[in-house]
Amino acid sequence: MAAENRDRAGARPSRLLPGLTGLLRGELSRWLGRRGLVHFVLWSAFVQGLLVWNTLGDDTNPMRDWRGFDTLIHLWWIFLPLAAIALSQNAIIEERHNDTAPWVLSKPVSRSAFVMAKILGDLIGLFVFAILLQGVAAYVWLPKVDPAQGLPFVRPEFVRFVAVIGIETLILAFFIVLSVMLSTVFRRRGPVAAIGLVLWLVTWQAPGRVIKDFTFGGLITGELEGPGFKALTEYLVFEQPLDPVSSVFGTAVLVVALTAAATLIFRREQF
Amino acid sequence: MAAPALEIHDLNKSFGRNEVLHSIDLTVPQGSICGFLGPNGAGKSTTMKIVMGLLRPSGGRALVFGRDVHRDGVGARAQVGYLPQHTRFHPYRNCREVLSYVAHLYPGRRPASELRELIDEKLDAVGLADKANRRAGALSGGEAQRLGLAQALIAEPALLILDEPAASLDPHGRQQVLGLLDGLRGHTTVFYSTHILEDVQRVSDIVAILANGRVAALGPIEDLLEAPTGGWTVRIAGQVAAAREHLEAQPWVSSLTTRVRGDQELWTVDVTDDGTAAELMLPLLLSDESCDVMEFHRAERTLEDAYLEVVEASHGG
Repeated sequence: MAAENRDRAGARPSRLLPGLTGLLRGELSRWLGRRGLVHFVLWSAFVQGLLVWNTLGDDTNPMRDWRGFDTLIHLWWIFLPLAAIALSQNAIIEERHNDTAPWVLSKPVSRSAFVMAKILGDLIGLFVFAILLQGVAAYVWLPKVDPAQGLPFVRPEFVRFVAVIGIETLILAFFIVLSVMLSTVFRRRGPVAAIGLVLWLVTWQAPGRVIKDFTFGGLITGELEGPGFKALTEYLVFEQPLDPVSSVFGTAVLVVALTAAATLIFRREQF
Repeated sequence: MAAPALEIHDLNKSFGRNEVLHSIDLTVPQGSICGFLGPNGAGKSTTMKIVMGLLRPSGGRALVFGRDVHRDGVGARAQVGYLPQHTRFHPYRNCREVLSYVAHLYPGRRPASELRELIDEKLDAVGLADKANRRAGALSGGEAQRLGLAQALIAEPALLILDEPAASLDPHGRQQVLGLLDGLRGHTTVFYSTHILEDVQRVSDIVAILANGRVAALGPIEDLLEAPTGGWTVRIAGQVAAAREHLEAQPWVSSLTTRVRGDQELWTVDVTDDGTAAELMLPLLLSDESCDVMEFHRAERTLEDAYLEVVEASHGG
């Protein structure tokens, strides 16, 4: 037994983000239980139901110009940030409030791994259930619908579709990382959710060129031809170039910077 | 020579202006069971939290099997199972899932079947086998404490750090924990805090007493109990008042305290001259025919005596 103890003690933790695999396994197990199933069923019913309703529309349907893949894109634009804020605002605050954070951190895990597991857990869960599965379902069945009027339901180019999913995931990542970073700073959920929601609204209004051109806000309100259509719709449905591309890189840089800030702040916390 | 399981050198901790630990030095050899004692607020939990990397020391350092807990915290914690004072788990996981989650946080992967057996073994050891599928959020305080012990043991660590492991347990649970600690003797080092001195005396090899943020005593438990008390114990029955007055009048008796036990009295007699007392006290008591001496011997020192003496001396100093 003594020898076994020593052998086990001799097993070295991984050098890069030690403990991440175990922590992430724990985070993802929540998605595979009832929680994940409920989210998936509700979101699927909402998204796919709305797509079906739109395809059945006629001239009197107020959303007739929004049907098809552009509807899917708009739903993602609107609801993914809200889902990210709702889920991730509590990530660290809940662990701190329930006193489970010090318990987990007393194991051979690094604080950076703890933060990364929170981010990746929500990102992977939402990506799979809210983006990937919904996107694949729409990609399969939407082109089979006869587009009696409105937009063409032709199947978009695969690479463009993947790129759109990637950009949606990047935006999702931004709001998750923002919420997790804020939850390392604040002790209550209110300010975390409020700041996230304000920023979400700001990106809709895109009041400044900086937000517009160098973050995803530019994709939302890209000044493109044709009222009512957004940059990603233009890119996906009408095969226009993605403009401005700088917004994708800008958002990616923000995601990295906010992740670094979250880990640095959390590493200083005492329990 | 093998590094000690735990070494603490010149450890200091302040919260603002409140200095909680003052230059703590402590060594726990491998394979020993060390009871960590001290009054409330002495700094026991703070010391343990620093070792577990939950608090940053203001000065000094702590080493687990030679690994600095600040510089190589993950490497140090890979060898430690820790039970915090207030045990909390994710309420949505059941007992089995809690143990599986913790096992996966340690390096060294086990096959699923082996892990399942290990989880069953630990749940059985702490008396939770029949509650394996109960949600952690639905456990009573004592059951959560047992699960806390099981999760500290699940990775079969070389060092166990337990912050009041028997605090919320019923007498049966307490006995189970003591038996469990006793069973680890020799192959797992245990460093645990408690206020139950009887438990410490029963299972510990080493005792460290912390008072006012300082280590006031540290050493094998026998050393603490060996120190002479300078007193004698007398159990006496019958008409004892005259005998007591007679004894108190002796010049070599410094004090006599009395405790009534039914129809008998238990005296603790402190003396100034132990040799004279050994020679004269018993004949003096036996000469009084109105009472019977039931018990007569040098007073035995208990851990409680030693603890109170150390803590009071520390406060006085």
